[in-house]
This record gives sequence, structure tokens and C-alpha cells, in this order.
Amino acid sequence: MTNDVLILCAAGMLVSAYLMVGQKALFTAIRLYSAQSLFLGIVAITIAISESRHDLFVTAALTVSLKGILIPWFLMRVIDRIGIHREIEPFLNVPASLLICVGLTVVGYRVSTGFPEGARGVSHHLIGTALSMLLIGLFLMVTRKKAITQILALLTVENAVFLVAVGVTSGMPLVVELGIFFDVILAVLILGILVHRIVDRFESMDVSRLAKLKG
Amino acid sequence: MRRGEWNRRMTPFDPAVGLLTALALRTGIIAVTLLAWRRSSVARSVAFLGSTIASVMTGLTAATVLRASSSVHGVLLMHRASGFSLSYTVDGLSAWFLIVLSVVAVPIALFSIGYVGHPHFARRSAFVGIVFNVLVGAVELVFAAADAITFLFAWELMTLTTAALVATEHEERVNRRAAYQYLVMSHVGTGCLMAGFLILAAASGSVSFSALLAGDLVSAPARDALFALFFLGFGVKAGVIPLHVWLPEAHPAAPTSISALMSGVLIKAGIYGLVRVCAFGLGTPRLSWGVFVVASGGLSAVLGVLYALMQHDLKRLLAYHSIENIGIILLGLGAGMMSLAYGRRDVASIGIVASLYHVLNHAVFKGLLFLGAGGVVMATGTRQIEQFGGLLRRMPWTGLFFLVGAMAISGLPPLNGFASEWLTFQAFLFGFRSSAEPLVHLLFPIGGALLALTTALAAACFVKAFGISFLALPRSRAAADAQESPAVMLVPQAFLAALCVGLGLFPGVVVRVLGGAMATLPGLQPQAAIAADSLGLALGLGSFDHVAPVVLGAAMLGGFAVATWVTMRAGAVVRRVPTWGCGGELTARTEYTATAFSKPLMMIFRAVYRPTREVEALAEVSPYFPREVRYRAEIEPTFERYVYGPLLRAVLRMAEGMKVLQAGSLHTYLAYVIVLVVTLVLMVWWRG
Repeated sequence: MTNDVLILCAAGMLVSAYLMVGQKALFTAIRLYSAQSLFLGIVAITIAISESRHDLFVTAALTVSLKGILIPWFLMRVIDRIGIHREIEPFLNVPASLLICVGLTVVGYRVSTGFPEGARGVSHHLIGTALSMLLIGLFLMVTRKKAITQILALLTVENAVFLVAVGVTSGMPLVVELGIFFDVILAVLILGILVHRIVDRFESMDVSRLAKLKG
Repeated sequence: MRRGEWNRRMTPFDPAVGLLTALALRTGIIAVTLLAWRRSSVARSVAFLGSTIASVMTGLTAATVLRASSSVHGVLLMHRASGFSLSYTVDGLSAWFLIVLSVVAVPIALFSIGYVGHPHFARRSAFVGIVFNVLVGAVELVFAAADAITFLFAWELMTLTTAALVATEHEERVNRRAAYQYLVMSHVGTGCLMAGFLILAAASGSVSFSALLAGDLVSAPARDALFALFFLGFGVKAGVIPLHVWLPEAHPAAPTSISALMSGVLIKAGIYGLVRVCAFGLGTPRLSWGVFVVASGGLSAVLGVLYALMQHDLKRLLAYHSIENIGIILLGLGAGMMSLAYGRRDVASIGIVASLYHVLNHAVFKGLLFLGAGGVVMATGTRQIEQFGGLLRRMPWTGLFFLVGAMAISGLPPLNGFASEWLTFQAFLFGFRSSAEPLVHLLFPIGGALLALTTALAAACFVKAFGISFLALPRSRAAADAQESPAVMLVPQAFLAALCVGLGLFPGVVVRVLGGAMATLPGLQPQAAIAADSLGLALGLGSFDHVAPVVLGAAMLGGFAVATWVTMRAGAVVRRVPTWGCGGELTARTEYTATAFSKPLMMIFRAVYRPTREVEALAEVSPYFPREVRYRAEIEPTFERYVYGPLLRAVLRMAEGMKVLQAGSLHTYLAYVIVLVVTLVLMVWWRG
């Protein structure tokens, strides 16, 4: 039962990453990230219950409240403020992107079978999912131009890393996790501010225009 | 009284803590100087007087170590969790170089109180004072480091602080450029050192010198490669030709007291490394290494002095002479290494003693000359010899001390340059006579001949430097108005001049002290090779094997006295008349110039200099009556043009190629990351 829930949630996270690749509307992408974080929260709660690790409840609560609610809310506010709602022209079109992402998932899954099986017997699925998400996140960063999408991609990578940490090793020490949460919040805040500045300067959120800064 | 007790009573502190105390003192001095940043005279006194005290302490520690023929070990910093520590050892060789450092650093620090107090530098007092302390402390640590990490740390600290001091007057582009060039070249050198130490560390599994430099750790070809790496790394710092190009730029750019320290001690850090690692740290030196060191020494000596002859900037001239003297030191070292390779311990000992002796001598007389030059430059506001003239009458003490230094560097007995150069000659001549190896028979006479040529040319160069600067009539307003330096700048020069005389008159004492230093180097037998009483040296080889500079000096003085006496007896009448001016008015324009003086040598060594000259006559009426004649002569900067030019262009071309990678696009950079990650993941796939 526990394993089924874990695998289901991990799959949900991967699906949300795929949907993010296929999505052009920024609001929807943020909601997808929110959903992804909620799935991650469920993973943490499941493990907390099944192994009665109470500190993981704190982790789960923080995940849901910060990543699932606070950060998406903040990013939506940023979008509202600057009034840009769509990713117009990615470097690669959606079908090609999805195909490459499938390839990345295959690579991630294939590699994950090389890892030793963990205690719960689901480690290899979790690692495969997480690796795929990590690669997809990186891929998103490379192919998308809008700064907001890149922030979301970075957060996806971070979720993937967190999934491995929580799902495979039953969570890092609470102090480390708290530190990571603060890092993420700070990163999002700073990036949000940066987006404002970029839009101010270039009248656009297109980061490929940053190349103009080079002397 | 037993020897140990005597030592304990003689030194006011335990040598085991002397170095640490000195370093701690420097830290304190730096803190106080920082507090007094705005009050330049306070900052100056604290920094330089404090530095003097710290240097004296280091010197006493080193002297104690040398006298007791023991060594002092200690730990600077210990990281308990990992067991990693930074440690130091003062053994004989370290102690010798620490003494060289202290002997020069004390007068330089005192001189700096006056020199940096000049309005030109006064506002930078705190900066120069602090960095000076850091620098001297770093050099102390370089000489005392007992593991590769401490050594490289101190080495880098030394490089960085020197660069900062070279750029003291950073308003001028030339100085910034000199500092930059110094930094770049030094870092290439340090890179080589790091590579060398890492290879050794990998082979020995430890970073401490006692394990790293134990000798045969690696195979023969690898030892050759290591020698090349270390020679490159230390050679840059020592200023060995062709790695010297930073030196004549950096020395003039730095404030003169710093130039004195750079020339006296900093380039000796390179020699220290060469002796410690290349000659005695990689096992018995191979013959090819010795040949290489002799060759590069000969090249540096002759080319150094030849280029010095053509310089008319006093500090640049002295800088080129540093290259020359490094060459002389390397000649002795190379002779020693070749002899070690052949198993001739006696010859090797003479060669190494000669080179270490010359390390001290060069530090003393070059320090003296730079301090004198500093006084002259300060008094006249220019470094151009052609602007000086007649300074002896205006600055008699500076002139006297400069003359002593000039005679010492020219190798005239009974001054100190003579003693070590004589020993170097002996290493070559005795080595030649007493061995049958063809390479020795080929190279040693050439080495000796190059040394002789170098010494003669150095004498010519200092006749020029002293004669044009100090004699005859002033060639410029500035020279005519020059004032003698204050006592605080003269006393250190007097001290160094006295050392020049003392180290020359008592070579036996020096060699005996050096015996303590040599005892730590494997495979030498200095005591057996060089028997010495205080006044003289004897090699025990038959004829012409002993020398007593005091006798030579007395003979010279005696001859002079006899000649004077004979002339007086013959009824010579002293007439005092004005100098004959060929019937014209006697002005500075009728004097021999530095350019003219060195012109014959420029013609003789045309093949080396490849001079270009331009004569331009400006005539108004007829070409036979020019109103003005302009003469311009330049020598070709061979190494800059043919070695470093192509190298620089190649590096720039590569950088241009690398620029493609740095496109400035965020997505490209991110693509690098994902390519890397995917590659790594795929590697895991294939491996597992």
C-alpha cells in the first residue's frame, strides 16, 4: 500500500513535469508546479507515517505550505505585475521537446536500475523518476526564454533532488532540510526581483536578450 | 663550560619559539599600523622599527641553529579533526637563507623610515609598512616551511605582496604593467611548482618535505620531468635568463627599498628552491641537470651583465646585475651538481659553498647599491644616469658607500664579491684539473671563462655607473641641487658597506658558518674540502689554492703607498690648476656620457645587442652646419621579441578561440550544464 502511494505520487510529479514542458501558459505552469509540490508533500507524509519519522511531518508541512502555496502565489503575483502571460517562442517546439524528454526519461530510468535496491523496494523507481525530472528540468531551462519558466524549471530540479532525498534515504536531517527550504525561498525571491529588473531594462522577460550585456 | 650551556646563555630566547615570536610580532605590528593608518609618521615608525626587531629575532634564531648544527621544528597551525598541519623546520640551509634575509631586511627597514618618509611616498606609509611586514614574514616562512602546503602558501603570499609593492605607484601605467607581468610570470612558475609537488606527494603519500624530498621516489624519466618543472618554477622567481623578463621591469617600478629587498632576498627564494629541491631533493642530481644549470648560469651571467652595460636607468642597470649575479650563483651550483653526479664530493662542496656564499654577498652589496641608488634618485628626482654627475661632492657619504658596493660587485679584493667569485673559480679550475670526465673538461673551462668575462664586464659597468653619476660636473639642475641623504638613510648603508668589507676580509669565518648549513645537505664534505682560518681559505690542492684577501688588500694598499712615497721622494711637485677644457669653456656638455662610455662595448658585442641607430641632423642653411644633431641607439630586446612575442600571440590566439565558448547567452551556458549532466549520467550507465 505504502509503495503504491509512493510510486503513484512520484509518477504524478513526473507527469506534472511533462505537462510543464507542453504548456505555454505561465499561470498553468505555475499551478503544475504547485501540484508537483503537493505530490512531494504526500510522499513525505506517506514515509513519515509508514516509518513513524515525525520530523518528516515538519518537512511535509513546509513542502506543502511553501512550495505548494507560497511560492506559486508569489510567482503569480510577479506575472500579474509585469503582465506577461505566455511563453511565446521556445527554442524547440512542443512535440520535439516532448520527444527529447521521453528520451531523457529513458536514460534516467535505465541508469536508475544500476543502483542497489533500497529497503522499501521502490528506490529504483523513485530514483528513475527523480533523475528524469532533473534532466527534464535542465532541458526546460535550456530551451525556454522566459525568466519565469526558468525559475519553474530550477524549482523542478530542486523537487527532483528532494524526492530522492526523502524517498530513498528517508529524509535528510531536519536542519539540512530547513536550510534547503530557506535557500529555495531566497532563490525565488531574488529571481522574482531579477525578473522585475530584466523586464524593466529590456521591456521583455526574454533572457536570451541578456546576451546584449556582453561587451 | 659546555657548548650547549654557552648557547643558551648567549641567546635571550629559545630558538624553538624565535620564528613564531617573530611572525606573531609582525602580525601585531600590522594591526597597530592599521590603527595608525592616517598618521603616516607613526605608521612608518611602528611598521619599520617593528620589522627590524622581528628580523633581528629571526636572524638570532637562525644563527643559534647554525651554531648548534641542530634544527628547530614546529607547527604553525593544526587542524585537529583531519590531522592536517602547517609545519616549519629551521635546518642549516633554512637558517643560512634566514640569516641572509635578516642581514638585509634590518638595514632596509631602517632605510625605509627615511625613504618612505619622503613627501613622494609619505601618504602611502601605512600601506608600504604593512605590506613590507607581510612580505618579510612570508619570505621567512618560505625559507622555513617544512611541507609543500606551507611552502606554496608562503610562496604565493610572497608573490602577491611583491606585486602589490611593485604597483605602489599605481597611477603610472608602466608600474601597473610591471606588476601585472610579474604576477603572470610568477603564477606560471607557481603552477609548475604545484605540479611538481603534487607529483611528488602522489609518489610519497605525504606533503611534508622530509618525505617529499627524500630522493629517489620516482623513475629516472619522471625525475627529469620533475627537475624541469621545478627549475622552471624556481627559475622564474630567480630571474634566470630566459625567464627574467619581469625582473628589469619590476625592480625599477617598486619603491627603492623594496627593490633592494627584491633583488637582495626575493630572487634568492628561487635559489633556495633550486638548492633545496633541484640539487638535493630529487636524489643525486643527474649529470644533465648539472650541465643545464651551468649552461643557464653562464647565459644569465654574461647576458645579464651585457644588458646591464646598455642601461642608463640606474635601477634598471642594477636589476640586470641581479640577473648576472644569479648567473654566478648558478654557475657555482651547477659545478657542484655536476660534481655530485660524478661522485666528486670535494669539488661539489666547493661549488655549493661558493654559490651559497655568493647568495649572502650579493644580498649585501646589491642591497647597499640599491639603497644608494634610492638616495640618489630621491635627491635628484630621476633615475637616468645621464642626468647625474658631480654627485660625489654633494653626497659624499652616499658616494663612498656606493663605491664600496660597486667595488664589491666587481669582485675586487679585499671585498666580499671577490671571496665568493674566487671560490667559484676554484670549483671550476680544481674540478677541471682533478677529473678526467670529458664533459667536465669541456664545460668547466668555459664556465670559468664566462665567469671571468662577466666579472670584467661588471667592473666596466660599475666604472660607468659610478663615474658618470658621481664624478665630473653635474649634468642637470637636479643633480646640481642634490642634497645628502639624512642619517637614517646613511647608517644602514654604512652597515652594509662595513659588511661588504668584513665578509671579504674574513672569508674563513663565513665558510665555517656555512659548514653548519652544508651539514644538512646530503653528499657534501665542506669541512674537509675547505680548510679555513678566519682570514683565509685553503683548498689543499697544491699551488694557487689558498687566498687571504686581507693580504691582497694590504698588498694593494702597500703598493699604492710605496708608489706615492717614491713619487714624493723623486721630488714631484703637486700643482693645482683648473682642468684643461681644450681652450673652450668647461661645461657638463663636454663630459663623457654613459652612452658614449658603453659604446665601444656595444660595438664589440654587436652580435648580441644587434643595435639599431639613428642619426638625424637638423640643418637650416647647409647640411655641413647642422643646428642640432639627434642620436638614438637601441638594442634589440631579443627575448621579449623572439621568445615572449610569439608565446604571447599564441596565448592570445587560443583565448580568442575560447571566446566562442563564452557566448554571453544564458541558454548556451545552461546547455553546457545539461550536456555535462547527461554525459555523467550516461557514464554511470556504461560503467554500471
